[in-house]
Amino acid sequence: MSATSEPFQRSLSVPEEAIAVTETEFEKPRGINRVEIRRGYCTAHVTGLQGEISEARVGVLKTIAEAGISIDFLKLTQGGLSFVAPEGMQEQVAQVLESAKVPFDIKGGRCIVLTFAANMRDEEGLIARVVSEVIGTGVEIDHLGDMHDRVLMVMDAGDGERVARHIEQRLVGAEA
Amino acid sequence: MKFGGTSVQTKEARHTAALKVISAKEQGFAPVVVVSAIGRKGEPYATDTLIGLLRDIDPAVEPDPRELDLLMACGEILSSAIFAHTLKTLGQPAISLRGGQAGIRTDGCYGNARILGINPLGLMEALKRGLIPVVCGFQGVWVQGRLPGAELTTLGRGGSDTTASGLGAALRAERVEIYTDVDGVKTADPRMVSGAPTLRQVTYDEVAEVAHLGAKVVHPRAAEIAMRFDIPLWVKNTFSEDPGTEIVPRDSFPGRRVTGVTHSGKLVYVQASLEPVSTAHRVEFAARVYETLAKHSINLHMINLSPDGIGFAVSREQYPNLVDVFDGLVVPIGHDAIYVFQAGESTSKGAASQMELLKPLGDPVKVALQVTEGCTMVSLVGYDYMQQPGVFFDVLCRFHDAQIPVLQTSDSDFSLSCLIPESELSKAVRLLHDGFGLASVR
Repeated sequence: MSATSEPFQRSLSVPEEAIAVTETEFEKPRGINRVEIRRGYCTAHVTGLQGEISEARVGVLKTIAEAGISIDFLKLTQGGLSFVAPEGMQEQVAQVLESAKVPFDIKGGRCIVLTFAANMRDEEGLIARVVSEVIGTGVEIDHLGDMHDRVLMVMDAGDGERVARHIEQRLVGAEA
Repeated sequence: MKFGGTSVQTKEARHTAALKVISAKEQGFAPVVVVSAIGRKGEPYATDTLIGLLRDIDPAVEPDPRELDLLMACGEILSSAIFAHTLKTLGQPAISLRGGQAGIRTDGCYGNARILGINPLGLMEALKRGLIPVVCGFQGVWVQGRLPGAELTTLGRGGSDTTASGLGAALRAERVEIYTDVDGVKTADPRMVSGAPTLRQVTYDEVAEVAHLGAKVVHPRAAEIAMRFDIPLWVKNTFSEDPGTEIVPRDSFPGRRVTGVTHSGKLVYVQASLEPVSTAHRVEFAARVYETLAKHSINLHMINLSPDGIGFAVSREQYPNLVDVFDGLVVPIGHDAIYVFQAGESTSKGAASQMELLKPLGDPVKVALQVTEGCTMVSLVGYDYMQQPGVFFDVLCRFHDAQIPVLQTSDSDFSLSCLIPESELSKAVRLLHDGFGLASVR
């Protein structure tokens, strides 16, 4: 007699309700599954930094950190950097950058459009598809970031709704 | 209990893994085992080696995804039969099962199938009969309408972790344990930071983000299933008695902290100045670039958008594909403008021949892709930490002081990443690990 046909002596701790389970559906469908908008941000672009660029950028970031301002979406640009901050701190950001004596431009009324998809990194081409769709609407994306389950795009709050609707129509439920 | 490639690599390793299973049974649990293919890249039965059997026939002919799936699944089939027999030699009744026999039903996407449902009755029956089921990870079946039989499919990256989590959810398991060759989720790659501590608890979000940014711990799909079904998930070491890492829901972990430092593989940073492109055409031009990248399934990191240029990083593996697609690519816009891509600063054959051919139609404009090879991405992952003032300054200042050039940055709710030269990777990882006090994190 083979080992597999031997009666098993121990009582097993199989949960009763598990016996009743016939099928469980659990993986989220492939592709974009929802869109969300977060409002209340401003974007700042610091340009024309003088001297050694890396040191100059660190200098600007130090000034911002010392003022207790939390920033997101930092991007390094040719002669400076850009970032996003809460809109409520726009005035303070401007003051800090003025005091640092660096050329800058600051825009309020920004929003973040979050496009959610399960397991973004393994859906090859999906991030590019989202970006292509949004740029195709003519909307300018200030900044872009990604996480395991979402792409985050910073843009004018006036464009946010339109972009969200466009993504919902074009991509939600569509396979990558 | 899921055992990865290194846990089933040798006879000794399988013996050790089998003893873990027997120990669980002796504690009164009814273990269900999931196994990966034997060994890692380069070893005789590893998935990559099996793929090579098809690719080596003629490298110019891409194998059919269906045949690839059938072949790749053999690695786990071998492994499950061998592991089941190992248990039997230790006096334990066991039975090997393919994914389909374990009730795993998927969609028809060969190579990256999603689990549509699991019918665990076969497994329950095996358990009732006192058997230890040893299920092949990474595979399921696609049932096509009225056709007889079912198509074997594979689940893509992290497929065995996903199998374990899925079965755990379907069986309403008490816990899912992922066994590997490290003690759990570490604060950094132990090859770069010797003595990097093992985290005792991490949230599902943290572990998914760490995996997204390049660390090989638990695949996000597996974490997501465990999170949705509230199944406790553990990462443990087959070869030690360390308690491992418990992966918990966000509300079970109220603290704020830096979780760890992770790094991606080799990346190539690609930038294009839009200066040669007419201002009126820039939006459409950029949209076409991303549309082309999407069409060719190119995975992007560190996307940088501005009215004057575009930039992104791609993996070293996908870079040749990108060059194939873009070098000499013609982008006509409107009635009169023709743009031609050139990969790299110096004139390429592809771009030159297109420019020559298109001359009779007007003056094509060349757009050069500036390429920086030998990059990698190092990331600081944190829980409820990245919104604190000064984090960017802290990271960039440390890199500046250590003379590590930062080519670009990107961030999200859970992470902050820097693109740096690959040669600086170990130094950068150690710098962040020490600088953010990760040696004392638990």
